[in-house]
Amino acid sequence: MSAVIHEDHHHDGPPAGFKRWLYSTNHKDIGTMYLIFALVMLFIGGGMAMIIRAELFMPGIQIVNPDLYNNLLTDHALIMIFGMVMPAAAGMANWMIPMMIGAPDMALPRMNNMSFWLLPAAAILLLSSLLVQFIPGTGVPINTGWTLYPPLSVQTGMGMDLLIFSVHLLGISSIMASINIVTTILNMRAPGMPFMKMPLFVWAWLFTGLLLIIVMPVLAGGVTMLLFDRHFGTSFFDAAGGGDPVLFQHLFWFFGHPEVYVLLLPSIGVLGLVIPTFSRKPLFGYKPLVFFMGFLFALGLVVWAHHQYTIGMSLGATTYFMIGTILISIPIGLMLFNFIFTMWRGSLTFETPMLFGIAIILMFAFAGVTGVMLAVVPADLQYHDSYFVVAHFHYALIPGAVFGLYAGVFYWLPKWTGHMYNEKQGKIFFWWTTLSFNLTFFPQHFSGLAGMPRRIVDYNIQYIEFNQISSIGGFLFGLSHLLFLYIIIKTVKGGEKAADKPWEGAQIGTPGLEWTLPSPPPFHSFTTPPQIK
Amino acid sequence: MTENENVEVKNNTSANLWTAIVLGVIALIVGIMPFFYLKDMVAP
Repeated sequence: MSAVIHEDHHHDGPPAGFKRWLYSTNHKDIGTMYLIFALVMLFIGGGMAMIIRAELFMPGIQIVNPDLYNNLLTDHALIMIFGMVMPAAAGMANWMIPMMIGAPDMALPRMNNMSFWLLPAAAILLLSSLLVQFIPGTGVPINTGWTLYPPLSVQTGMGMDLLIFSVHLLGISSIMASINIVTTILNMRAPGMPFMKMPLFVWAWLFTGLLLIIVMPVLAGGVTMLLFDRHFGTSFFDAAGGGDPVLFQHLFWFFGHPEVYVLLLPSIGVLGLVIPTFSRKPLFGYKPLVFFMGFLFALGLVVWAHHQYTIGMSLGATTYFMIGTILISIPIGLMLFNFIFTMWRGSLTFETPMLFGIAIILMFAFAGVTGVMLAVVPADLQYHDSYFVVAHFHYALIPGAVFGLYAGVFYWLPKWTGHMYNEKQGKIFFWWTTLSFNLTFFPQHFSGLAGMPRRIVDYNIQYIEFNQISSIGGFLFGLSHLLFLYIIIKTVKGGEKAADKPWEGAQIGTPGLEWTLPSPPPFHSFTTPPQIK
Repeated sequence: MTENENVEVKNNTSANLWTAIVLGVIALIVGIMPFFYLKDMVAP
């Protein structure tokens, strides 16, 4: 696909000073702010993980008390999911989707500004919910884990109220951003770009946006009901008043399970560009991949209760959720095969984005295997709430979501900044993160199978070796991100000039229009719709 | 790059607003659904 483009040389440049960012309606600037926000939250959430791993280096209680430990654990999850992965993916969507589909900007630019600026407010509330415990009289810290299950979440101190308000803001931000992205994709495509010519990343975000619009309000409703139970005398989740604590679990996981696909799909979209680019071959099975993502979208909405097998559902319900969950392995497995077949007999080169792409296929497949194990009811009843689950979801979310974002950052950094990053440093970062990630989480399968429970500050001495390996891996994994930060700052500040199409196979990799623009692209792009041939 | 004079520039504002309204209403309906339990689950 190629495009004839009218470049407008008469537009205004970016406004000077803080107004450029505070009042921004420009999709590239807002995308940049999302990405910087995600990077800051990565270090805050990662810092919490470092404290957790330092505490678990030895059995006994060394650094933090049990309630603070559980609060850090809760906030680590919430920050990484809502503060890091989702904003980073939204930042990439903001930057790339209008350029890929030939739109001048997002469909609703002012709402785009608001979607972003709610995030810092939400982050302040979230961090306040952690810090408020140090003020006397504010009650028990949030010791529930990110699932916020009642009755514990009804009994915790005022930190929980701040957290609930934070979730509200995060939810509003996500819903508005999703509405914006879906509207942009539906209405703003350049003439000559039908749905089935859109890059896979755009398709992935169409499904992600729709998923968020459907599930995020349910979480918002659920936590509002929690707030009512805490302060306004209702008993939605209180059995003594005729309510049911299990209702919250259903509401939470009706959101929580599709949320996994919200985190995964944008990265699958990035894979759909990176793998063909560096294989120099068109994507194998584009249409089936779109269909598989649609299948994942639909199936992801109806299998939530596999997170709650232990609550005692009816045999019919558990059987249904078990079969549905196992079925999910079919579209995911087929997607991975599509990427492998794309590489088959291709002219492969192994730049940093491609290395991350291959690592995702290998390690995410591993998470799929443990996922099928956890989907099987009798097995899950043994593994539930053990470190095996912790290992499983970190293998799903770090390779499946975070590595996809790293692949995206290295793939698009030349386009965003106009400079090539240092390939050698990129590769060092890749090997450093990948090896240390495995060192951290692989042993947790064994400690989990041996019976180590999750979300507990102390552990039996029999698990010490696994935990020490995990902690050393965790520190190395955390440290590797300083190199990531260094590479990004160095690339933003300067370096070898990037071509408009910095990757040889870029046009094979994506049928989008982003490579027809200069690197970095002008402040306003596609002010006149491009003509797609 | 060449100027493209063949493409008609269309105004998407109305379509964008309506799409956003429809999606927003879907979000509102889904968000209100959990509260239908209110009838049965308010403390006596």
